This record gives sequence, structure tokens and C-alpha cells, in this order.
Amino acid sequence: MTPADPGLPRLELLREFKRKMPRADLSGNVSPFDAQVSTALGNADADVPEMHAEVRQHIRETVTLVRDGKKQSQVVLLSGAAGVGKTHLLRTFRTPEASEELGHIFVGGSNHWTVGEFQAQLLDWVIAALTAPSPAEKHPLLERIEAIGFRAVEHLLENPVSWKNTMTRPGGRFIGRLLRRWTRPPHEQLKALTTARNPEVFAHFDFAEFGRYVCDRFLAERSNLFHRYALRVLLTYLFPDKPETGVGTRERVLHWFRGRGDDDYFTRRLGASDRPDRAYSQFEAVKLLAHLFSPAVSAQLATEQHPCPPRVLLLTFDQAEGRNELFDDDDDWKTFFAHLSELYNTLPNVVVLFTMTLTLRNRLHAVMERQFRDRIRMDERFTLALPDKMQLLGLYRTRLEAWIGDAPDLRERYAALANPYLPFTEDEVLKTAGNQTVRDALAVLNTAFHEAVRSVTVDAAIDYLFERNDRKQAESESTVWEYTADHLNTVCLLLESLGESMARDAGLEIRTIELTKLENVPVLRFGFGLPNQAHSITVYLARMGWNFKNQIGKLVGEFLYNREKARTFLWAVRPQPLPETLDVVPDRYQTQFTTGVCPADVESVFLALTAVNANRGKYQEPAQLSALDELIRTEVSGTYLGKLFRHARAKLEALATGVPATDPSEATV
Amino acid sequence: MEVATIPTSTLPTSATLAERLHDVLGSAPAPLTFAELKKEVGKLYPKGTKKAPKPPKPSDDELLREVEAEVGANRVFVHPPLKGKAVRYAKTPPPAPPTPVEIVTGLVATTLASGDGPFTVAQLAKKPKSLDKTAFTETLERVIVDLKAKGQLHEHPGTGKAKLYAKYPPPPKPWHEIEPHKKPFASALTATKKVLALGGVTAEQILAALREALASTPKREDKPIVLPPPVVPPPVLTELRAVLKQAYEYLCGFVEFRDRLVELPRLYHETAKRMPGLTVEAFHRELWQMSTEWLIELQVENDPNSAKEPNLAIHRNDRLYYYARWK
Repeated sequence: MTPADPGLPRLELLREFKRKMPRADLSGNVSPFDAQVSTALGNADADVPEMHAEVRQHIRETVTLVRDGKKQSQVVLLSGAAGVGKTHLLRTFRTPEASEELGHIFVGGSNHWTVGEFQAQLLDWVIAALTAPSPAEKHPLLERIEAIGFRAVEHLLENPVSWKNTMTRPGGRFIGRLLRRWTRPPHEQLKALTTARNPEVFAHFDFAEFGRYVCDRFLAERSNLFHRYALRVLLTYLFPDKPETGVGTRERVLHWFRGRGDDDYFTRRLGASDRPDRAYSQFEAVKLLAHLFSPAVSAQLATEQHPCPPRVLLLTFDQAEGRNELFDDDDDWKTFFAHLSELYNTLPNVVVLFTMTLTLRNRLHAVMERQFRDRIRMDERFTLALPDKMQLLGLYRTRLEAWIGDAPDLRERYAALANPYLPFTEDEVLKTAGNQTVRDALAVLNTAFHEAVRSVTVDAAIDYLFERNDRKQAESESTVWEYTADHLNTVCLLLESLGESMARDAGLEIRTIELTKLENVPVLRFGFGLPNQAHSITVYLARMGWNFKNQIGKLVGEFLYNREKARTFLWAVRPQPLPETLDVVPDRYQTQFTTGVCPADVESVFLALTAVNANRGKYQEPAQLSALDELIRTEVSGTYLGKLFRHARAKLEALATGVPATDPSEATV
Repeated sequence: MEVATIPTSTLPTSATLAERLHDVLGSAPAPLTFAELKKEVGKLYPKGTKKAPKPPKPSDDELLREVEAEVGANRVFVHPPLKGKAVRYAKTPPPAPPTPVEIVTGLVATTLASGDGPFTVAQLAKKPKSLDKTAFTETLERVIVDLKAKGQLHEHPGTGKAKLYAKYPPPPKPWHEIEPHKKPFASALTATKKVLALGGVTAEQILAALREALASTPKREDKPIVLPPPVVPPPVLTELRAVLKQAYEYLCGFVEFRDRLVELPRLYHETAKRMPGLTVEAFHRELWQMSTEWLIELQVENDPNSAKEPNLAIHRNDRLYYYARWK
């Protein structure tokens, strides 16, 4: 019994990797290391827990201590070279699960605002964070307002007198009193609704009186009229219109905070008009919203049956270099830091998190230390380090496992391998990735992974698609002129390996191929003939540039003038079509002159076919080889080269039979 | 062109045009062109109302007359234009243009910073357009003398008449190339070569015979033999790493490096103090090698324009590695 080849499972797995990579829908080859740049809104993908573990733990501890009131509001500054993992680290705190576990609200967004717009932008962010995932669903702000409302009702119902004064008052004095007496629900019913957390309980309360009670009980600045107004606006969540009109109560409240609210509506309901349309009132709105989640208010709201933990506002300012572009000078930074310090000086539940590169940090750290004083700690851990060897290896494994995660069979086979760093060894991973940032390491691993998988053959279609996709990026990075500048070299390479078979398929022989130039215009000279026949023709294939008129004139003069009409032909190709009629080609040469198009994708097709054919020896099954030949035939025949070959055959047959070839315009591409 | 922000004025409404002009120039961080001056002075003339009219803005002619009067009275000074043709005005006189000595000293410093040398006189500094040949030659000679006196430039032995200079002193000569041993040693060498040329003996045999002969010779004690200091060998690999670590730990004590991420230029200077003769190439080579051995991490400066002494950082793969941290 022959022992099992230990390399076979590895080879099979590599083939599966290659099968997985080409994506026709994305026009690219997707490897485990493709996504190298973390974005603030990206998905929380594969993570290596050990990387920056200390820093992550410190941030968690800081948020926990601030949340529990054991520490004042804090500022954390993360810095490091680009690609070291700052944004990725930040993103781990963004997920709803992390927010729920730590008890924070992740607040942050784009850097596209000037220092004068900071307050408005901050308010927008806070609103968006508090009403995530959607204003129409349950969200932290609604839950908090409901908690406040129910707690207020519980307090009211404890008092045998005051609760009655806050009931709704239909009608006038005498009739109103009478109606109230008969229509007012009993105390037990109200208590039962409150215990069941049924929002219908609020319908029995007078909005104005209830609002006054809530403002007096739960606001830190009870005499701040703007805070009172804003809290009453929020309380309309509990007192929606019946039926709902316009955008509905929930979104109407949010639009008010954005300064775009329906003033008439709130004037009617609250009897006064105010809106957060100035910087100071926007800041006051932020303070109010943060205060609702503070330890003090949370302690007031919490009961045994309904715990109401405090929440920390985690204000994040990522990629501060983008901020730097929008600030005019360092004074703007000072103003910005001053605004922030006002926020955390008045609120106990704020943690501010900055990320920036080393240059900006070096420029600003003195300013930040002066401004934030004891609230900011400059620690060497906050200058993020490059990954060490174990972390790099962990990153490789994590990425690979996540990539094959959706294929259970592949996962099992991978897990059974002794070497989890396929297609490399552990040492090769370390040597390739090197001692550099995560982003740079992923970039080089991506290239190396592509190269390693490229050498493995699966079948002609997959291998061709892989090669073809691999060139998409190069196509998009260059202009079509740059990309096809060496097109005739590409054709030569193609014909070196496939010329014989291509000619055979077209019923021809290629007797000569010679690459030359005429005043910087590359020209390929073909000598074609029919098998076992002496007749031959010469076809010149020229790759034209942007300015073609002079070039064509010279080409015609050099290659067609004074040559046999039936045996000499000139093809002019370029990435963009040439005009159908060219004045520069004299009439007597029109039958010998043809134009064609060699766009970027034809260049890529030729390169991909050459690359796939280079691995021909690895296809062991005859069916695979037939499939490869068929693929080559199909791909080439659709291009100008296929038409050139057919054109050459037609001309040769005409020579052989003495009958003129069919209309040459049929051969025009 | 940058126009610095000028703080708000606190002048009373009754202030004269000259006072406003001086207020603007006094608070501007850089000289202003006439157009900028006009704009800033204009801001000091807010629009009044019918009930509270305010003085109107001065016309261009009025402002120009005032500026020229102040220039004539040496209370305002004209500065040369930057990129355009417009002259600029400020309350302080323009800085004096650099002297020929300053120009040439700057050129020599640039050359010395670019490499270890040694350099010929022609390589030390090329004649700038602003100086004629004679003036340049004299100034360069003077600068060389000054720098040698300060120990910032050292003469190196060269072939022929061309003098060579470098920022580091030349390595000391071996004892047998210095008098009084030079000539007797040369004679001994010539004699030894003659003996070897006769054939039949090897150099080792000659040395052994000489040692034997010297052992029986009484020592001369009247003249003490003063040998030059021993030749300092080039820095050994482990020695350089140890010195680098020492310099690094020293720099980590400074507040700007409390995160233990040290700038390479500072690290180089600190290491060179402890290891004179350290070349920049050796410094870079050692750090890169340590990085490939995962002993240190090198971090990139994303804004190379802001880097000081970038020549002391490591340029590789289109990146400027500017910081180092020991793992």
C-alpha cells in the first residue's frame, strides 16, 4: 500500500483557496488579506485580541470607572504610525454588544466640520448615537425617557394627594371637576399600568403638570429654561399625538434637536417657542442629553425590578489629521479643546478618545496637556506599538479562519492541517510580513498569498478568471494608453506559447514574427502561409498612439508603397477606435489597410491567457487540457487578433485559388 | 500665501489713521502688503448708523500717503516682496541680508551634513551666484580656518597638493609612521626586504631571529619611549548596539520621549557623543538590522516635510523611518 502523499491535502486545500478567490461579481480576487484599511463604519471583522490588549483594557477600565462615578470624565489620546491599528481599536467599541457590555454610547462621525460648527455636529452625533439603530425602534434615548416617565409616575403615586393634581383635566371648571371625578382611573389601575411598564399610563396625566414635575425632579439645573424646554420636548415621546401626524412624534422630537423642528407644533403643545439654533443652546442640549444618562439620574431611576445603569458618552475623534485640514491654525485647535473641556468639566460621564498620527500628536500634545491637565494621561502604551511575532501569526490565522468561515468543509480540512499558515510556513509568514504596521504587513501578505496561490492549477476557467481578475487593479490604476503601451510585446509573448495552436485553429502557419519600430511606432511583422503551400503573405500590425495621422501616413509609405497588393497588408490598432475612413490612407491602399481596437481588457486577456498557458504542464486530465484550448480559442477569436488571423487566411486562400478574397470591409474590426 | 489672523483692535473710535495703522502693523505677525494693510485697516472702521455715525474708511490715496509719511519718519519700514512684486510694510526694519561668511558657512555645513567625507575644498562649497570668485575664495578660506579653530572641521591627509577636510578628525597614524620611529622603521623594513630577496628564509624566520637577538640586547633606559595612543578599532557590532541602547535609555528620560518612541536624529546625536566616529550609514545599518531581528520597531513619519534633519532618518521604500522604540 503506498503511503498517502502528505502534500496532497495541502495541495487540495490550496486549490480550494484558489477556487474561492476569483469573484466575477467583484471583478477581483478576494484573499484573506484584502481589507487592509479599517474604516470607522466598517464591520468588526477578524480581530486579534492580543493586539493592543493593554490599551483596549485601559479604555474599558476608564469607561467603567467613569460610568460608576469613581473617576471624573477623562481624555485618552491614541497615537501611532498610519496603519498601526488606531481606528480598528476604536471600532471595537462601536458595536452594540460592546456598548451594552461596557455601558457606553459611542459618539463620533466624519471630520467634515469647521470649529464653528462643532456644537451642531456634536449634537447631531449624540442624537444619532442615542437613537440608534433607528428612531422608529427602541433606542437608548426612548428607553431612558420612558424610565424617567415611569419613575416619575411611581413617585407621584406614592403621594396620596399630588398624583391627582397631575391628572388630565377635560372641560371647564365645574364640569371639568365633575368629569375628572368620574373619569379619573383609580390609583390601583395606574399602579398596575406603571408596574407593567405600559405607556398608556401617561395618557391619564396632564402633560404640562407632568412635565413640570419631571423637570423639577430630574434636572441638574432646574432653573435652566432651555433644559426644561428640551426635556419637555423629549417627554412628548410619552405623550404622542393621537392620531400621529406628519413625521410622527419620535422624528419630530429629533428634528427639533437638529434645529429643523416644527416650531408651531411645539409652541402649541408647550406654550412657548425655543430651539437649539445657536452654538450655546446646542451645547446645552448635548449637556442635557448626557445628564440623562449620568450616574446621578441613573441612581434616581434604578429600582430592583428595573435597573437603570448609567451610561458613558464615549466621544471619539478619529483620524484627527482630517480635522487638521479643516482647521485654519492652532488657535482653532485650542478653541476645540476648550469646548471639549467645558463639556467634561460640567458632565461626570464623558470619555473623549482621540486618534492621531505621531506628527500631529507631537504638535498638539503640549496644548492638550495644558488644556486637559489631570484628565489626560500620556502613557507609552497609548503610542501604539507594531505587532510582535505572535500577534502577527495570530493575525494571519484569524484572517484565514474568517475567510474560510462560510465553508464548513474547508474549515474542517484546514483545521486538520499541521501547518495553519498555508501556503506558507510560520517563518515565511514572519519574514514576509516583517516588523511593520498591521496595514503594511497585510498588504505584503496579500501580494504573497496571491503569488503562492497563482502557481496552483485548478481548472482552465478558474485559473483564467484568477489571472484576469488579477489585472483589474492595474487596469484601473493606469490610463488605457499607459496600460497598452507594450501591447505588441504582449502579443509576442502570447504567440510564443500559443502562436502555433492559434494559427492551426485558423488553418494557417506563422512562418515569421519580427518586432520592429518605425519612428517610435511599434510594428509586428507576420509572415503567414497555408500548410504545405508555398504562398505567403506579410501582415504588419502597428500599435498606434494618440496622434495617428502622421504615423499612419509614414507606415503606409514604409510598408505598403511599392509592395504586392495581394501579399502585403497593414493593420493599425490602438486602445480607442480609429475613424472608419482615413484621409491619410490613399485610395489605392484602402484594400490593404485595416483598423482594429486593442483596449485594456484585450491586453489583460492576452496576458491572462499567456499566464494560464504557462501552467499547461500541470493540467493532468485530458479534459482540462481540452477546456484550456477551447478557452484560448474562444477568447482570442473575439479580439482583433482572431480577426487578423481569419483575414490572413482569406487572403491566402484567394492567392491560392486566384479568386479575390471576400469584401475586405468584413475583416475590419 | 498665508495671511496671519490679526487680533481685534481695542482702539477708541477717535483714533487717528496713523494710530490705526500702527495698531494693525504692531499686531501683525508678519509684514503686510499694501492690499493686506488696506483690508486690515478697513476692519477698524465699522459702519455706523444715522444716530451713531462713525468715521468713514480712508481712501487708498489717504492710506498710501499716511504709510509713506510713516516710512519717511522711520516709524514704519519697507520689507522686500515675497513672491509677487508688492513690497511689504512692518514696524520693524527688515532683517539684514546674510553676510558672505554666513552664506559660505551654511554651504559648508550642508556639505558636512550630507556625508562623512573627506571633501576637497571644491566639494566643501560651490560658489553661489551672489558672490564673485575672489570674494568667495577668500571667504571660504576664512570659514575653513574658523571651523578648524572651533574643532568642527579637520584636515585629512590627501594625495598631492589637494587638501581634504571632514567633520571628524583623521584616524591616528600607527606608531611606525610617526617620528622618531618612522625613519628607523623604514630602514629596518628595507633591510628585511633585502634579506628576503636573498631567498632561503621566510619573514617568520627573520622575525624569530630578530626576537632572539633583541632578547639578549640590554634595554636603553635613558630615553623613555613615548608611543602615540593606540589606534581605536572601528565600533564592534555588539558595542554599537549597547551604545545605542544606552543613548536610547538616556533620551527616554526626556518628557518628549516619555512614550519611549525616540526620534532617530536625536538618537544619532546622542549615540555619536558616546561613540565618536560613528557614521550615519553604520547607524542606519545597525538599526535596520535590529529591526529585522525584531529587537526594535521603526515607525514612519507620515509628514516628511515636518521632519527635522531627515538625512539622519532612514529612507527606504519611499518611506521615512523617523522613530525607534526598543521592544
